[in-house]
Amino acid sequence: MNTATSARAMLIVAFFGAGAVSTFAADSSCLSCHTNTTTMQRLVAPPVIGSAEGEG
Amino acid sequence: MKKLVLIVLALAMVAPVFARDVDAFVSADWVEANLSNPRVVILDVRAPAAYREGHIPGAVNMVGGSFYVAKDGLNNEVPAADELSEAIAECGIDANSIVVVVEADSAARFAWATRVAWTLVYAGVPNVAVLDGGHAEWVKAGKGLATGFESKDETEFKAAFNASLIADKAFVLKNVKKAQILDTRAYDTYFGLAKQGFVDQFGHVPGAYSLPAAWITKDGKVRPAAELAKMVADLKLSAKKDMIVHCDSGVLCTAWWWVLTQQMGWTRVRSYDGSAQEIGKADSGVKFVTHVWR
Amino acid sequence: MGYVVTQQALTSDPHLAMSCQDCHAGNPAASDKANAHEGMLARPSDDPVASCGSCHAEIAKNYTLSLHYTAAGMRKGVAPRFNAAELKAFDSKVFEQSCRSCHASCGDCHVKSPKVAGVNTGLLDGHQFLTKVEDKTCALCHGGRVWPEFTGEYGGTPDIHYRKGMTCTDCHTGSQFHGTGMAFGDRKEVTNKPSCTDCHPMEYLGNAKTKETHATHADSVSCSACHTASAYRQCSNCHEGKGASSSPAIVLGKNPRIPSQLTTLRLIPTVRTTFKDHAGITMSNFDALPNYWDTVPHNIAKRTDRTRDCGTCHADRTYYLEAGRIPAGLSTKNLTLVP
Repeated sequence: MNTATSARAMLIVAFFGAGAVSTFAADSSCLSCHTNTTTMQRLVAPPVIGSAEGEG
Repeated sequence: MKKLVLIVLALAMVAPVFARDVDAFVSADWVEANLSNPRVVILDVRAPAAYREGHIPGAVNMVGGSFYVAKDGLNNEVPAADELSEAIAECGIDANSIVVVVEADSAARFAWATRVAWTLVYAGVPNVAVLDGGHAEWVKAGKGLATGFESKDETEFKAAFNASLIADKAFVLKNVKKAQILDTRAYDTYFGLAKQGFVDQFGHVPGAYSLPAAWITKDGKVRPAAELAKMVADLKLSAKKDMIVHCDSGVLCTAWWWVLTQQMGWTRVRSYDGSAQEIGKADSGVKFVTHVWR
Repeated sequence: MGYVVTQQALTSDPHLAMSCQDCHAGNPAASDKANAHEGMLARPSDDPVASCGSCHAEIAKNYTLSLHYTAAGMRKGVAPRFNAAELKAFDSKVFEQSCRSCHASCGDCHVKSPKVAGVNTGLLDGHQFLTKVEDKTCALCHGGRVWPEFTGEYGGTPDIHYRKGMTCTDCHTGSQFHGTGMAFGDRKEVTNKPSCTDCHPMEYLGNAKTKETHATHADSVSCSACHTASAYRQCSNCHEGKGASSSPAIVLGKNPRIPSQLTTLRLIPTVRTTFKDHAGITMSNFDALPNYWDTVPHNIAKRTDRTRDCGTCHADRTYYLEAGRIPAGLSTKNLTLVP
């Protein structure tokens, strides 16, 4: 391909590539779930409390 | 001259026996305005952990369980005089104090506040109020909180029980047909459809009126005084006859006791400490009835 | 909600200035739960030295030798019942998996409420690291006996110390828990545990009559025998694999550790078949230990029926352990505790 197209292609790669790099380097995905009440309520199953356990 | 003497005597007779320097229920605003009054003691009866996390500035803490104890097989009884005197004295309370009892709220904890309040009046502290809405109301009003532990100097208070404010089993047995019996438990319990595990019999004392203590409050606040007075009047209850208020263990009934005596000025109302736990025993001498109103 | 890490924690707690994976490992780059949690340590402080010890070196090291971590007392309390082979089987099949699964990690007291039978109240405060939150930590593991007896929830009078606003750590200090680097065999050996006379030296207590009474009983009766206010929990079949039931009672008898002393006893219902059904281990020396142990129910009051009326013990022998009331089939050693 000609120089103009390759230049445009490189720009596009750089634009999206920069975004991809910052996703890996910055805040972990841990916080995206673990700080979100709705997500935690969806992902965490409350424990089943057996009827024979302990005393009232 | 004779007429003047008669008038004075008549006035003296209707003067309230409970001379109060404070209303039966006070608001958060009233508490805030009176925090620096040296007579006032804000008594926070919640658990120490909750108190330490945040309390009305200047309030002292004495957990409710110091004022009602399990004794002789009954769940909630007045402690022995020496124990109670110490608990009250350690809060910095004496007979001259104006005490405001603060429970967590005036919903589930309302009757626990009136229980402490009744105990104080019974023990000889005449000026006691209950914070309408409890600690929750203070927080809802956006007022400041203090943390940690505060205390007042111990006083020399010694309990002097006023026997006319309490009913014991002997009194109940003697007056069960003569006095007005006010059952403050839930309708289902009164009717005999449900009961607590520690009460033997279903139903209620024959002839007892039903007026659930739960109806004193609405949405966590005490209903207007006029509304409460109307409930009592419509039930045709009389201030002129002896009355025994009771529930299951002596806590709920103090709510109506508080309204009737401290707010409405009735003088012949006694709270039955042992309540249905004692009088509802299979061999108590009183046979409960079910499925009837009165 | 008890499982959410809050913004408040992230901004204010110095521990959260590190990244999650510094303690929890795992795979922060992944975007779904399964991959993100691969290699993750849910409870990093199960190994105090490797995790918290990287900054809190001395405490972490001392803690690994302390009873909350080693649960050594639970082993010492039953070991005399086994012969050598049985003890070995107990160590490999029961102690680590069962008793010691209850050991407390740093996080169990400082970050997240410990699980009891799979249930807890979640993060203490959005994953902040807190010095203490007794009613969500101590009260969970010690919530069957001590806590409800202390607060009055078990139906008795609340302990006087609780009524005065004192809670666990007012007497049981951090250095007691974290340990001093000595590995004790059980809690009775711990040298810096609290004792009544630390704050209430008897020479100064009460009027002349009180001083005289205390002096007379000092060597033969524990403080707890007279000053335990209400009936405390006597467990009756927890170790029989039939669930848990109990009933309230005050039991006075000879202290199994100090036979010359009368004290409050608590029933520990280990039966001959306790380890047989699940682990196939017998207790050849079952009768070497009694089923009643000396206990200090945290339910103290100055005045009790015993302090008001000497006849409660001396005439009526109320609360005294009686041979006829000991449940059948238990250790023969129990009879030696009848006063």
